[in-house]
Amino acid sequence: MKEITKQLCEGVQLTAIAEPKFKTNSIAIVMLMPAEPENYAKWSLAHSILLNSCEKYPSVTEMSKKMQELYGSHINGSVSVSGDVFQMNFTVSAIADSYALNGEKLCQEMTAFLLECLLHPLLNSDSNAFTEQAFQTELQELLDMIASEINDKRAYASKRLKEIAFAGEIASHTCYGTREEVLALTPEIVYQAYLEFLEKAQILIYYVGSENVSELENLFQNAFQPRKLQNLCFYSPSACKSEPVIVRESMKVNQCQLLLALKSNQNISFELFRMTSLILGGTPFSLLFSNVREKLSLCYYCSSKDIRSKNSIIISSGVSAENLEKTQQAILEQLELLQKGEFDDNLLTNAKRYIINALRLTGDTPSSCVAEVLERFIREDHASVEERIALFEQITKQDIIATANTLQLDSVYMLEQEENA
Amino acid sequence: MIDSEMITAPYGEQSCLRVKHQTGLNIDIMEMPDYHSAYALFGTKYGSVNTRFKLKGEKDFAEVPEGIAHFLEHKLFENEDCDAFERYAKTGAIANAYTSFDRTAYLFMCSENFKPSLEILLDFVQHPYFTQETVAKEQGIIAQEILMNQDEPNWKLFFNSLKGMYYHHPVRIDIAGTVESIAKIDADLLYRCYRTFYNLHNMTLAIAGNVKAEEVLEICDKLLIPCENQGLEEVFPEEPETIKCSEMEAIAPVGMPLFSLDFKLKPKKTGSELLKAEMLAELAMQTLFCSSSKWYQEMLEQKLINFEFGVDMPFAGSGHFSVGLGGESRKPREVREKIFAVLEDAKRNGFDKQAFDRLKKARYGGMIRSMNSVESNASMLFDSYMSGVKPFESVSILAELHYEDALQFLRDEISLDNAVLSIVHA
Repeated sequence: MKEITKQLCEGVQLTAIAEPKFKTNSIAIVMLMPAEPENYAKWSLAHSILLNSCEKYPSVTEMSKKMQELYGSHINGSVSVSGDVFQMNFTVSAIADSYALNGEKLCQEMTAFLLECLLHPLLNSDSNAFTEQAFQTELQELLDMIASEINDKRAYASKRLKEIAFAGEIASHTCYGTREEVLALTPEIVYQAYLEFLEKAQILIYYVGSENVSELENLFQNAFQPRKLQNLCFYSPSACKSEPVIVRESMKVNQCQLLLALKSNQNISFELFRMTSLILGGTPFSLLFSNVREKLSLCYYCSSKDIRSKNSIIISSGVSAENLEKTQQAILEQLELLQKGEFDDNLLTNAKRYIINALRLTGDTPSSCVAEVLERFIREDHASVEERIALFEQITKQDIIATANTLQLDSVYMLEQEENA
Repeated sequence: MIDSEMITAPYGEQSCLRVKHQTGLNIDIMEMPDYHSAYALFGTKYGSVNTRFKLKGEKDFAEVPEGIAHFLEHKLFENEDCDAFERYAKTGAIANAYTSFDRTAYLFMCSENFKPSLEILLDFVQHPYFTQETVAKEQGIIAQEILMNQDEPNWKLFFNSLKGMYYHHPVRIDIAGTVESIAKIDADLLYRCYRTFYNLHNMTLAIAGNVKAEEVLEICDKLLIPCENQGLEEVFPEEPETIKCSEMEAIAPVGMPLFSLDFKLKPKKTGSELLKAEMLAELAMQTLFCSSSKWYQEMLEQKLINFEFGVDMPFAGSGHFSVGLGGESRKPREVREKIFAVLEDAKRNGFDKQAFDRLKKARYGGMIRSMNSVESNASMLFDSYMSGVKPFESVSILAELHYEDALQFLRDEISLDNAVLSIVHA
């Protein structure tokens, strides 16, 4: 893939990734702002309204019709928090113009459609607020989503662990606010918050495909005004508690959830932190999978995932009530073995192969092309895939042992069976 | 190789080589030289519905415990010396497997070491190793998987709907079985199921990505173990066309009540007939109820549905076929009545032809889009063989579908008397 980045104006840049093998064109617009949890509900609601209506296509029905006319084009988006940065994403993709049956200019059309949504939202007659109808629809949607958090027990338990492990920090908040915060909103408050966001956010635009980029550049050139660069903090380590906090809650469930947060008190490189987590529980040959699942048969899944921006590793498992304590003990035993270096040297070699294989998959989907370039921005690191592979290759067993020894248990969350469940 | 055929997509400049290997195995290979990765699936026509069977010459039909196909999938990863994951660890490939109602697939994805990874795949799937001890160990792991699924409200919703639609067909049972049924599985039963269904004449290998067909075939020639077609016979219970129960309700800790409305349809005889019927069912239901329909907008405004609502992909296999829609609603019975009213009107007066044409165009776009991905191409090859159709056949069938076909399908095949409303609420 061939990539060119161009500054359109201060705070707005366009990266074009030329990749003729794809039969689609894709655009992603990423807007970044310092995280302000008190604004999450406003930003999140505004984001949903923009995805489902605009001045030209004023309802979900009209929006859907337009997307179907563009051969099933998709406008999607998400909001998330990375470190102490709030991220609002919008994506659109359509089949390449050469596959259009009637010679339509799909790439141009979809780009114009996306900009229409972002820059010309559906407003009330005074043009100072989103319409009441669009607002009410999205408000109800967000309230329903918050109410449905408990439907997915694994995701719910993960959210609860983050609230406990990162209490008092930005990472303890969900990126869409609480029910109370959502209920306090009005169409005007949400629109004004969006205007401010649009004015201040740092904007990264990505294009992946094979069309002529200069035509797209023209469309984006005047879309956004220059803005001051924001102070974006993607790395926000979390201090480990002096004593682990253990929280037990109960619900009518068949299987209990057990989650542990480990934290490191040091600034470990991305590669080393990722590798340590992979060896502990990030692969089907990791210590947790091989021992807690395969040898002890305690669970169907027991895995770890690193949140490097918080210097944390989250371990999660689903277990029977009678095995909760036993599983926790087994997990901590594996951590201890890692810290003592009592693991096969092949585990490191294999984990390297695993991550190298995964890194080299980059570029085979439009989304992985964007993710790779965006990640480099977030890490403030211009290393190519091959340069990053070299960094992984250099990691030694001693490095893993040293990193593992910086990890301490911070929090434990158990979702247990309610009595008489 | 006994026979081979190059099959080309009507659009998209893509083609695949279909080979009938001398061992009986079907092999589909799509070379995608511009990509870094490769994706391979090796699988058998064996899933949770295949519970009653025998081989030619065997006297009695075997009846096996629920969930055994899925159990076998787990156990096949293990051989006498080490498990397949340990072997893949040496190549870096990302490996996995799945069992559905009518198929089991073992797969890997890699960006390097394709050949040794393929050798591992072909080797471990052809060399079962089961002992009482390893079976007992797996029972604990799968029991946890079953409990995990039972806490999934959508899983509960789906299986309750199947239980409402079907009287006897084994599609109504959970793919993983129950904690009680898997306790009855032993090594001998696993070997019997393996010998019956893991015969290369009943299997396929599908590969897409940065591979060369001749290299794949060379490895196949070396590692595939010739076997005789043993004449598999299966029996499915007689299934009435009517539904068993029109409403199924379950209680679970959910924030918003979930619902699905599924219509039991007549199964089709051939893969091509079924594929056409699936597309007609999907397009007809989408035209009436998807987010571009007038009905959808009205339901949103009345707060009867939210954006979770959608038309599901039709669900079909050996002896079963249904189409459904669903999402979240505080008043699912009222939504059902509104859906029925639209269907009755459409059957009498027809529906929006423009909307049908637009959705057909979007479906075409979706097919082109899926050709972007190594993974979806390999899965398409695998699923095509399993469903008894040729690769890319869906593109040709779609091109020939018309509004009149969809209306006829709606009138003839979708009956309000055959609808099951499944609800999960707190």
